[in-house]
Amino acid sequence: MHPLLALARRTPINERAVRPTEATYDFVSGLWYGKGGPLADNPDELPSTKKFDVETGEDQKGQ
Amino acid sequence: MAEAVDVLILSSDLDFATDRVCRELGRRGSSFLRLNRESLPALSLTLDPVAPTLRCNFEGRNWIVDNSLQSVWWRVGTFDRDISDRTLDLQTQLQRSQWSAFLRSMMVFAGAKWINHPAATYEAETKAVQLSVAREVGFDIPQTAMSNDPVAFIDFKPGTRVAFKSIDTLLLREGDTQLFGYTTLLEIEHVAVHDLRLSPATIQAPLETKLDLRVTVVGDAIWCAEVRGRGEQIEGDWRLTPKDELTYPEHVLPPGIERRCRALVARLGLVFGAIDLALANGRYWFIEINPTGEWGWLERPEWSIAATIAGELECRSISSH
Repeated sequence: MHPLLALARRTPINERAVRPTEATYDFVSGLWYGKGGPLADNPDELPSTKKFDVETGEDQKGQ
Repeated sequence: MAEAVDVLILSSDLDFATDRVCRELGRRGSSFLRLNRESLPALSLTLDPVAPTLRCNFEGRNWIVDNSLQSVWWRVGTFDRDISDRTLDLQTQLQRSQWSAFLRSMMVFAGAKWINHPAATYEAETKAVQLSVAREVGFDIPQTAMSNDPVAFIDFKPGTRVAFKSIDTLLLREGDTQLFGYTTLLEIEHVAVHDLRLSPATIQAPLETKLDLRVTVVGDAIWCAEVRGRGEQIEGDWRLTPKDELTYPEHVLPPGIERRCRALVARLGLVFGAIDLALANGRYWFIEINPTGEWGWLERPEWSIAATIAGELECRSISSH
């Protein structure tokens, strides 16, 4: 086996988990809204990254 | 009556950092249009590539993008790395390929300021180009080889430690799992094996005792954060450290290093860049630059990266802290 494959970290795919719950997206403002207003105004509610790769906290590098 | 668009945002509805930029643009009264790649079929979009104009209709409201467009925030795919999934149905394959090309077609708005331009992003995503340009602007670079030849390392003594990583982001899927490649510190005999021939990889001189730094550049503004685990320097790839143990205190870069960071971003034709440096042995080593790097995790009131990006999109420069 190639060492890159042997060393790669394997994790379950769970893309849906990153979607905000109890929030709706507003097209015109480009914002997710929760009960208290835009999630962007509440850092505790708004995920800081897309976190498609849940382990790294980075995005899919331009994917 | 169509509303004229000054700032075009091409993103994903899950790119929450873009929410922060939209919030800032909204506060400033800027006329912007955010198109998310997942939601494009819900819109009516017509591009005249020659005029050029883009017309958008959503629930009876109309927008028009034309040559008066000031800027574009490009947060959609430049590289297509998701090529391993053979389970996609035909409609999904069609939508992925054609919408992706449609979004790239926004490059007809060549007079707008792009953050970042897809062509520049494409080149800057290439690690070998990054290392070469970083050296040109004066950065220290760990000795690097990109190779599939185990014999190339025959002069290395057994037990010699190396930093081993992929040539490009390694994100693979198999069934319901994904594989992600991190930088690994290990002995050369575990790397220079026969199966290395199957694919090239990057082998670098290791920085065993180092302080990880993330430098975010937006136009002329620059921020630098240390990445620490439980307050300490992190051995190896910091992304493997549990997030609740990570802290990101500010780090003041020497003026010469700041100049190199800005020069690197400019030489790569970028406006935005997320640069990874490592401070070891009193020197600032260049690791990589990510033209589409995440920054939401570094946002804080006194370091408003979102406000600075919004300012750049409005073509007004905001000085850093």
